[in-house]
Amino acid sequence: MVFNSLVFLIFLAVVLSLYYRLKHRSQNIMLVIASYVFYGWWDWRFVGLLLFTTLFDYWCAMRLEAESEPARKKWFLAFSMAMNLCVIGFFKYYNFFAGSFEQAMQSIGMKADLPTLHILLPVGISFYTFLSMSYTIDVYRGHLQAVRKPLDFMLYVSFFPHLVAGPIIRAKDLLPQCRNPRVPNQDQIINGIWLCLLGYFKKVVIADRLSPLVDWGFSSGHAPFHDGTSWLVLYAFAFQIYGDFSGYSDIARGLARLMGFEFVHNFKAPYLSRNPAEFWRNWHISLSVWLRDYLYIPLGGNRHGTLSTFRNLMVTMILGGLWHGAGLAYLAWGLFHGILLVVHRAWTSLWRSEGANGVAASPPVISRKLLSHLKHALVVILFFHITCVGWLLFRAGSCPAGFSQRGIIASYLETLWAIPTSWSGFMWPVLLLGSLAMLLQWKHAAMDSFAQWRTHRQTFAVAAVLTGIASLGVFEGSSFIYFQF
Amino acid sequence: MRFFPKRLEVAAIVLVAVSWVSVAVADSVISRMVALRFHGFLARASGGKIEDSVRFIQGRLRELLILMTVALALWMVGTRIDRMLRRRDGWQRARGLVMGLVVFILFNVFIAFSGTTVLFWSAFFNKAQVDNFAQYQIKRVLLTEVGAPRRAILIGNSQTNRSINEVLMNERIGKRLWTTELTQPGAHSFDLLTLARDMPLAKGDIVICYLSEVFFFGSGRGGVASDFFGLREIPDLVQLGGWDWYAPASLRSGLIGQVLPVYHYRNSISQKALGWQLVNVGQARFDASLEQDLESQAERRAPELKAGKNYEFEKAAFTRLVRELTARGCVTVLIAGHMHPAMQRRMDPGLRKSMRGFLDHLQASGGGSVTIVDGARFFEPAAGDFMDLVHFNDDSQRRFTCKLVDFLLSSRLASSASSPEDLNRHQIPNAP
Repeated sequence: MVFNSLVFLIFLAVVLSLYYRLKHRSQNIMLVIASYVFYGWWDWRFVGLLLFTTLFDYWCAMRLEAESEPARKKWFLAFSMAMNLCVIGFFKYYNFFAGSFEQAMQSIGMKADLPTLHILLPVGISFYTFLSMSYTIDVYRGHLQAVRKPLDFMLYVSFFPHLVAGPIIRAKDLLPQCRNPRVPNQDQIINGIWLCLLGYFKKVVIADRLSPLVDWGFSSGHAPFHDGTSWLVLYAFAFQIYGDFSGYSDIARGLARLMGFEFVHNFKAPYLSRNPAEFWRNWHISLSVWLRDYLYIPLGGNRHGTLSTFRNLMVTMILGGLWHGAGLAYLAWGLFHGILLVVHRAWTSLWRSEGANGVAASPPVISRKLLSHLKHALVVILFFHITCVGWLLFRAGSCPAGFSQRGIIASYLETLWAIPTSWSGFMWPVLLLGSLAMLLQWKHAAMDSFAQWRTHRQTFAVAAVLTGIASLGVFEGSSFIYFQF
Repeated sequence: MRFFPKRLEVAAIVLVAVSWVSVAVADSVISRMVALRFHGFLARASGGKIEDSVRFIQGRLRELLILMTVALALWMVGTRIDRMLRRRDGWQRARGLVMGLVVFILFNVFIAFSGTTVLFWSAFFNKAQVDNFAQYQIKRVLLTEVGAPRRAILIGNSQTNRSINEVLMNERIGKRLWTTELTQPGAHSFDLLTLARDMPLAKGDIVICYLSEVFFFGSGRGGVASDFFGLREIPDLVQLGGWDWYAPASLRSGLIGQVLPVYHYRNSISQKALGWQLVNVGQARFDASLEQDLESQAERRAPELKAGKNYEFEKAAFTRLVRELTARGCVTVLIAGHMHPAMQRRMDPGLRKSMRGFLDHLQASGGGSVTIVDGARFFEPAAGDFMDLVHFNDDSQRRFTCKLVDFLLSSRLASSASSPEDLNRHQIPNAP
């Protein structure tokens, strides 16, 4: 069941009409049942896996809390981690590693026949596994008390708005909301409806309209382009993935608000970032924060000198890339962003030390402001293009089987640096939809407080978004990109 | 702040009233003046598809007035709803959201009215990159303004469109018989039934359809239904046994389109706003994926033409179409056409026999209002006459059209005095 399907709208209508009639405990029971129905709609066989992961981590956390001996606590944590990583590793990475191992053996003249299994990837496994893992780690660290009622924990893990594509909400944020009664106020409901509309707009108008162009650009026999189309396809993918994923997150947050829940922000203004650090503070924030808190900082963070910081950044980003999928392209994407972060950190520290030593002559105030704006804009544009090159690596990872990922990347890189002699007919729509995406990022804070807008602005925005969805949207039931992760 | 200031409302009412009075008094004078000024432009823009420019301008003036009146009426409705919401305390926080929804609904009502006008669809007209839906809507409205003694309407799928050139027909016999092409690519029998019900047909109209095996035995239904399928078609679809042959998504899309005109016209709006290239990139990709070699393409596609249960549905729907056309006093000319010889060779020969048998049966039971014309007797097509497996190229389209014109002239169907029976009494000319 995807958010942009008719069956989901019917499902939602039923859930909401029941929800507003029930009391707190009954609400939770109904939401858990609804969430399992929602998940089982794809493939009922994976409902068992979701239930197993949930109950296993619930049990581990209870034991962790009950144990007073640190060694045994550690053992339970390791047990929980190992089980979660085994589940995700088996479903997501087995075939990739088996294939890579065979290739490696063949390259040194040895033959290894590992069975390649036809493993179906359970939708959203990376999201709910990380969600569940964060809970046990927090209980181990003593940041959180283990949940007594399994129903609350089941709701925390399986709550359908975030179940299949996030945001990855920390237990400390969501569990209290599951435990305590929720009464959504009028502003919350109004904001929730608006966020849902905005999310649908981003998905069906921005993402799904650009999707055929991206598919075409990454299908065989098209690249290399010599008329600027290479950049247009990369811009299109940048806006497609933004529209798709941030649209999903908006719908998820909107749905949660309709039921009185509050989810964390997952996107702010990623394409208005000036550097990779800022980008990761604005893009898929819940994953960035998860990786920072449960990987980067435990690895040592920036506490043990420059080289160690660089290593930690690289490891974090490579694993972050692999979280998206088993493939060399995702690994390369993670590596790319790791290098960007390392270079940025090195550059920043160098700049800081130079800035402390030298005193530059300061220009007059007005020109200084103008220069600063100009510099800001140029840096944003430059970094957006660097991000697009990263997206090239990422998109190559989802090319159909049989495509040479390296070939596609090479053919794009060949033309990206060439000055185009003409522009293709795709320029106008990509710029139009891209500008919409940029506008929504620029105004992301305002988008979150719709109920505080003036009435005529609300009216115009709602009418425009509804008209945009109905007249420019694509309704052929396309799925969300991040479901595959 | 008020959405709709009172003074503006009064000014709009005065403007609309004055416009109505002006047009009532000097309708023909204004139209003639405008037509005189823009005659050349209209002829160029329409490519010879506008019969009478004065009548055309008159029609547009009337449309403009109707749209202005509707817009004003909707504006006033919006104002009243806004005032009503202001008075209700409980609705204050949600007023913007509710008014947004109201504006969206009112806008849809306005678009529903606009969709019946040439003025609206002209905004989507693009000669270089044809928007079939917009063209169809424009021609459908203009059909009511034809001044020639008789009208011929071309219906069918893209084969009819590629076989008969309406402009050439009108150049040759437009004074006596004005031809309007209202085809839809990918249309099958049930689609034509849906479309024909929507066409402003009159007694004595000649409905011409080019048919080949791909029409009756081909697959790929749904494209037309997603634009035209409506509530009134549901009983027919059930009764004719066609429910299984349409994807639910396309039927659903058609039904939603009936209540949300903005959604109904989404392809035209998207093409206009985002450009033809982006909206059609998927289709272009599919076209590019087809084999260039027609022989191998035919080898793959010919076995797909089968006379299964879908053929029964096609026959039933087509029979009902012809019956409805006859009931409306129309003459139906069905041209049993051909496909590329490579396709024809590889196809099950029984299909042609079956199709001809069905068409002959239609003629026999049509009470003189149905005529079957064997396309091969006009024109025996060779491989070089086709641009792909099913469509004529420009030259063969011209030749085929000339033959059809000769046929219509010699059958006296192109004259207003002729009756449906004249057509059947006529000897079909042999191909050169």
